[in-house]
Amino acid sequence: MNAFDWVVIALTLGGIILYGLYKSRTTKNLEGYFLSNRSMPWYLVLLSIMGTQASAITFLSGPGQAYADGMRFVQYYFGLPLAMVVICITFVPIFNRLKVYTAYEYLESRFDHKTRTLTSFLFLLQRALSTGISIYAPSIILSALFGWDVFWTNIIMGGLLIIYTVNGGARAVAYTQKIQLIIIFGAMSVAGYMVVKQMPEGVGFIDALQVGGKLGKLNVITSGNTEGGFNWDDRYNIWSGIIGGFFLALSYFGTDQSQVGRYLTAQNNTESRLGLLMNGLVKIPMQFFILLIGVLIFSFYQFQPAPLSFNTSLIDDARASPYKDSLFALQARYDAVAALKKAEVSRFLAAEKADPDNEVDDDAAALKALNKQSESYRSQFKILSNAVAGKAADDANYANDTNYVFLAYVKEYLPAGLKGLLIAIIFLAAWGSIAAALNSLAASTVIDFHQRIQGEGQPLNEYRISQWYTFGWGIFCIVVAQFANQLGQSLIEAVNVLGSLFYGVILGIFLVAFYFKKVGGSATFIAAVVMEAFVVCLFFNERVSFLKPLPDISFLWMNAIGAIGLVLIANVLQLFMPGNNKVSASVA
Amino acid sequence: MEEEKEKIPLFKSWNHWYAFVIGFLILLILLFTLLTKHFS
Repeated sequence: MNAFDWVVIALTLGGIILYGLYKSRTTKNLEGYFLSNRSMPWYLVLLSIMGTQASAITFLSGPGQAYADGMRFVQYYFGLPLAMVVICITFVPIFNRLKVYTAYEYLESRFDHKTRTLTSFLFLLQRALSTGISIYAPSIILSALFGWDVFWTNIIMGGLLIIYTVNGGARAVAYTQKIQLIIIFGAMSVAGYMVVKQMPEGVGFIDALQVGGKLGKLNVITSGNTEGGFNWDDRYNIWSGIIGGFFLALSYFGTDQSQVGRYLTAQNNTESRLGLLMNGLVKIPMQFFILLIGVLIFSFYQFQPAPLSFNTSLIDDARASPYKDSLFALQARYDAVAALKKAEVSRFLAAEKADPDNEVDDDAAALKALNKQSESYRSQFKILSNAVAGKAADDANYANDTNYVFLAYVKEYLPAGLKGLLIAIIFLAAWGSIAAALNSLAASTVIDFHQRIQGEGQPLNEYRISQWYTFGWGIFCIVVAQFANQLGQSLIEAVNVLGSLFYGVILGIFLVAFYFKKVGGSATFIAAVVMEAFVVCLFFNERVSFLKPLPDISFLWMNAIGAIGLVLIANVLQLFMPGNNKVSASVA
Repeated sequence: MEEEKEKIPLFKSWNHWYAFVIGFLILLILLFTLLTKHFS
């Protein structure tokens, strides 16, 4: 990093803060602060929805995921367009007709106070924790690669955006997300172009895909089937993506206030629906593009020496430890294989060009064997790194470098200025999702709790109180990030899983509310408590001995289990609770 | 805000929009399947 990179970072981040403050003029009441006076056109709703979902980890982890596991991660989003359709049909008209501020407000008119309070509490709990982790996760990666102090990186990652989020509420969040996404996609496109440009002479985009494809990285569609039948613990395949991903997206976009709050800012039903449906059209291609950059980086590293770990701080730690001799021996073997692989990949491409119709896989056999050997050395380094840190040899998280791949490439190979811009977009991506989260946390606190306790007040007072709640949640999330720092790297993975512990149950409550008019609040409340406990038990089954009999299930399925289980239990309980089925006339 | 007064852009009804989004998803899955097979 040189001075030019720092200037680019400072200008980009400073520019966004100033733009956010410039766009902060809003009516000083709750509708102006939390819903931007319901004035947004569909394209701002779309960009706000996308900017809220795409966090820093999306851009850091995506390419690394493709590097390590191929492109099958894109299947995770296959249920999203279907969820957009269901939300447009059911959720949007009801939320807009009732003119709610939060999704949970509706639950009181449909059920009762306790069900609304439980649901908004579950939302606040999971959203505040996951926002804290969303601050910490990119901070720890930047700190490890660039030697920055993680405490101050957390402050900048989670703190500077508070300035415009507190000041301008939902309007400032939406307008800054628009500019952030334009910068992010521009910079990512340039990064993708640079990877191809830096390939050896004569190796182009299609060649890079040939190499990635032959080494298993273009596995966009996978069935999840193994010799023993369907693997329920397989995270990403077409079925978990369509079914599990559908329930996850339905819950996230339909019941998580950080998303509901975005499309409630729309002028009317049409603008809300268009924003959501366009998200259903562009999300998968966008994610495909991010993953494709990872495949290109993978192909690039077939011609260039890749480090034993992209988290280079682990190599430094090993070098300074009693294990340094083992490291040097491993490095020598790894380098030797890398040299052989470089020669073999060139030979493979030459053979492909000489006979492109050759269906026989022989050309790639040697390359595959060398790649397997290379990967085994990387695995050996992870075991060595675990030993250096005093971790168990089979600890899969500590030395996992998936999230470091993209930034390690940026750091090593991109020119000054562009390197600064790519680092700046990590901050921008984080700010976009964190700002929306803070706005939604404050909205739920004010509408679902503060107003319930204090009653409605003067508009200006409520506006000021909302600003203070936004500020308070910002501080809370930074504190969570600082504590996450004490708990190690595995939390980076937790941000993906945490939502699934709560989303299924929250979705189940809304499904009962919308589609099972005979079921009342008490039956739904009890079913929610039971299913939440069950989902948490499922998640901890490998960690707690008496829960071991429960099956191993990938987190994506927990959304479906939580939602369907709650609907079933609530309906059964209602049979024993006649008369407890309050249904609001406005939604019946 | 009243739904019946709103003009639906591009298509005649929202159902056409929903069919378009689902059709696009199916098209993407087909293209991805071809891509996977071609480069594997």
